Amino acid sequence: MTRVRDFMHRGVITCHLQTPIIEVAQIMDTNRIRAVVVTDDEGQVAGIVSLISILKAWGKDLTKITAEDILQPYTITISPESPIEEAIRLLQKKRIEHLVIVSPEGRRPVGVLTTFDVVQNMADMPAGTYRTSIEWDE
Amino acid sequence: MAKLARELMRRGALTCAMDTSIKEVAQIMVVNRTRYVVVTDERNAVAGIISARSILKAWGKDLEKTKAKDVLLPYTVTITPDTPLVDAIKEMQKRRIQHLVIVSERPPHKQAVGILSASDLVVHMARAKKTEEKR
Repeated sequence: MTRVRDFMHRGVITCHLQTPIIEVAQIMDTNRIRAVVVTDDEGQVAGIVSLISILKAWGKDLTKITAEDILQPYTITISPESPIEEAIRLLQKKRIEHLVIVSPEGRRPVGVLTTFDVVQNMADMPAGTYRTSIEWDE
Repeated sequence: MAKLARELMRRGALTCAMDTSIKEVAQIMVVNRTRYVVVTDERNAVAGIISARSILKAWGKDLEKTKAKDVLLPYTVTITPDTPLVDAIKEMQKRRIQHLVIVSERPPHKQAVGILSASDLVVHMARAKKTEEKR
């Protein structure tokens, strides 16, 4: 059985509830990622700021709005041992692109599973076996 | 004046046909490192878009036999280069999609001319502010 741990990325890029949105946008830009996991004072997952949620701040003062103001609360509990089918169902049902994988003991983030990680598996092409004429990372 | 889609869209779009297999669509995404493929009909008009999420509908099915037309998100709202960005953003939020197809305003109608992506918008937010700080 394929499990979440077979497809997920280890390690999570996080920010705090009080991080201003301008910094969250810069974290995404610098790391070329599409979601930042928001943690509370205990380092537990409070929510996630995705591209779609950050657009709520479009046209506003990005230094005054914090991650807490626009995050999508994250209540899903999915662990590295969960079957991949469960993760795929959640991504579709919740209409999200990223699942934060939490440690079984607590709500500490241990990894992220994205829709693209699943697509890579569907494409069935080992890394390094293909070439592209378009050089962008979009 | 309000910013328009043309200011932040990327020219050109990756496309596939209605009967392209899902395996091939997934390969187009991986090879080009994109999270969308635009699906066009026999007249080359936009029929819809496949996102990294909509393609998941095909998980567990035969990926050679399942076709682009089976998983596409139908094209509904017309976004042209002259659509204000705020309207495009509303559409992204409403449908929870990260890419909008930009179509031509002039005939032939419904031809894809570009893509507006949420990630390009957020990069713009991150950098616009930096520029202001430097002043």
